[in-house]
Amino acid sequence: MSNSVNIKKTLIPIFVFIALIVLFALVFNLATHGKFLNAANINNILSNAILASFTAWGFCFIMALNYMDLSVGAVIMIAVYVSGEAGNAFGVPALVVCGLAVGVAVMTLNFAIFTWTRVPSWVAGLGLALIYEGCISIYQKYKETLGGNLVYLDTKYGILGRAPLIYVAFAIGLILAYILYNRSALGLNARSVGSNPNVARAMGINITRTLIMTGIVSGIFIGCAGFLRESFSAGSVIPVPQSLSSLAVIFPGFAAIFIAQVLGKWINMIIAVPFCAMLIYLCYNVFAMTGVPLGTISETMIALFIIIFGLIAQRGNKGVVK
Amino acid sequence: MAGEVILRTEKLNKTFGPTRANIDIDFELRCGEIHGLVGENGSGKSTLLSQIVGIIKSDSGAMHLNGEAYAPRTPLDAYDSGIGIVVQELGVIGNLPAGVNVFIGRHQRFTKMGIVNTAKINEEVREIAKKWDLADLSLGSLTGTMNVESRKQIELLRALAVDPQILILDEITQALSYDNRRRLYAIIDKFKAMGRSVLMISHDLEEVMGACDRLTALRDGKVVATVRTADITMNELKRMMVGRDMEGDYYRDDKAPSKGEDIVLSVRGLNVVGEISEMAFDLYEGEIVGFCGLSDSGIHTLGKALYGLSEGREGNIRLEKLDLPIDSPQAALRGAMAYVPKERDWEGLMMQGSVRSNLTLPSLDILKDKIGFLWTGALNASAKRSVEDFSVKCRDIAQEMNGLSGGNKQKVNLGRWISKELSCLILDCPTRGVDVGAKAYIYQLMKQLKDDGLGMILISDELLEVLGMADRIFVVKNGKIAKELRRGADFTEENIIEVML
Repeated sequence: MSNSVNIKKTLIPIFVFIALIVLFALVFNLATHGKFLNAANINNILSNAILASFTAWGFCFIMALNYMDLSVGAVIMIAVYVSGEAGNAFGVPALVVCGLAVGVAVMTLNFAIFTWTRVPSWVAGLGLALIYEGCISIYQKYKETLGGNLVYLDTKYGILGRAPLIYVAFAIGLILAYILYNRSALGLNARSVGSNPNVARAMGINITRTLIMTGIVSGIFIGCAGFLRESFSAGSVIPVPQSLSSLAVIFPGFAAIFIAQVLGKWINMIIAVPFCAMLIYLCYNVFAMTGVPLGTISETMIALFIIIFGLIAQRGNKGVVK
Repeated sequence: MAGEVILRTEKLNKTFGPTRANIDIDFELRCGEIHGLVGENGSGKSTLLSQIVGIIKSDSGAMHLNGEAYAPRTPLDAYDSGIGIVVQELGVIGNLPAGVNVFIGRHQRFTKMGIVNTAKINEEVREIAKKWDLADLSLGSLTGTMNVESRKQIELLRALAVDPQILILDEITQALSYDNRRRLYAIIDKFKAMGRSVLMISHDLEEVMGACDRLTALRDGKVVATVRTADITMNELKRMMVGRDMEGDYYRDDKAPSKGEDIVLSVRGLNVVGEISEMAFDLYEGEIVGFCGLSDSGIHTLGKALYGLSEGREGNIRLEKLDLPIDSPQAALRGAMAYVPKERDWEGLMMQGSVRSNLTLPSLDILKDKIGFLWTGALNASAKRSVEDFSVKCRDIAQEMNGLSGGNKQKVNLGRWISKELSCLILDCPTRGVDVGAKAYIYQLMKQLKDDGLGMILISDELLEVLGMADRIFVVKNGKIAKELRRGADFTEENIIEVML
């Protein structure tokens, strides 16, 4: 197949999906009497979609290995608080470095636990989520004993969470995720290990190294999700997660990745993720504007939306879909 | 140089728990030779190949390649030593594109600063396919979305990508249809002409007798003999493999078609979008109707369509006696139809399930009591009876299907249907991947079912099988019935191939 045909094959579904989002946006704009399509609102939707995209990209690598790490939300929250402290103390570069360092270090630890303990990742992940949430609670209590509150980033250090830098971060993240997932030896090895570890081993792929390296790469995206979230929320305190409420942090990313997987037949998953995240936040936004109570009801509506979307995309598929 | 020994094994041994899979295997492969390994399922052929290519480590013994010590630790070592391999134990990575799969584990030379140039990989794969005259594949598509035949072609491309001195093929031809088999035979001929060697396993004895220069027969993990194909007859070969005389032919010895009076299954205007069009035929009681054609002819879709499985199906399929239209697998089951698919491990059996679950699955309606409860005792008794009736070799009925040999898996696949009263039976490549003993058993069973008045559809990539067993053959080309042949003087390979091509 020639390159031009390949490019057409890749681009047409993307344009169709963009057209679909634009169509949704126009309909929503009508439904909200013109409140939807204003610059501030669009910027808000896009920024939230970018945060969810980084989480989802991290998950793309985790799920390529056939792993499911439910502690990612708690890891993001640790990255949020650590990068916030570092940002307030040493400025934006420290915020970035510490967010990344936390993401990489904790995700490497997670993958080391999955690899060497052989406890199923979703079980170990749940346990780790509780532990990490516990650690954040202890830290919060420690701050309270010092008479302070949990950190909130000073507004002047929140530039990465605002336009235009959040879009620069998005562009870098998208390119990096696309290359690492589709074009790097590590991405291909991770997908091999997740798909058929026996063949991967026989073909000389170092399984343990691949698992740990993939943990590190997912950690980069999770760390980014952490410091970008803190930057986006600069000036306000992000509530401490407890009793597995950190799972809610990953819900939009999860929702995006599920839709992206369904779209995988037509659009590369990494590219589909931000569009899907945007679609999710379009819905959230419209629900908020039309008076649907935020929280459980809006998330139920989103879940219904995902199921309906999946039903449409999977029509004609008679097999059992896991 | 032709005739010189390129690969030698000395006293190779391999044990799995209490089972001695290979015992003191001495074997030689010569330059420019096509060498076949034959033996029943479980005789140690695949284990020997796995030892040669580094998938399995030998317990003891030595190997020499080009006169030098050779001890591969992984298949990559075999590749680096100039051995290209297509073996059962190595598959493809389903969620990677086809092109990338060809160079899996060896993409370093396409990688700069950790970034893999997939365009360059695809370009090289296309060149390899062109060099060896292999069919075009969509290299950007995920391998998991491809059919078994395409996946085998990817494995073959992977083997050829190392420009091997020795090509090892483990039961690949049985996954290929007629046209792609021809291509493979052309590759094998080219290898021989180039003074290179091929080591192949196939259960198709006509194929190995036709393609190979020498054969090594294994039985119970030991080499029975190595002979030149020119010096041995088919019956002698069978005796070497199974250790006893196998009397008579596999196939039917009558030369005329025979059938009952009544139509069992009537098919009119059957269409499956993009696959088959306007098919119409009747199947009579006690008749075997064969279907053959090239890989894209649609014959395998036909089996699914008849059983109500294919998407986009139109037309009228009817069980005449019951006056029952077949528009879904549920309707087919209600009408006591049975379907044995080509992809046994993917579509036929639950590989992680027990022998018992697999044997009893289609009969649960019969085995349940009045209130719908399934008693373990009834399930066990039914499964044990089937194991006995169909001579399934297994540890016990609780054994996982994965642990059974190909022939015994197929006995379960077929036997679970036969244990019921059937209206008609659709068989798609029923002897694929089974050894000579199991093949003989399956053909015997088909003859017996025909005598009992069962109508059967036999879809096959093996022309000799269809010629040997069918009363009528429909040759299918581009999704349409191109010719009908009746058992008799016209029943020849030439007549079929003339239409197929």
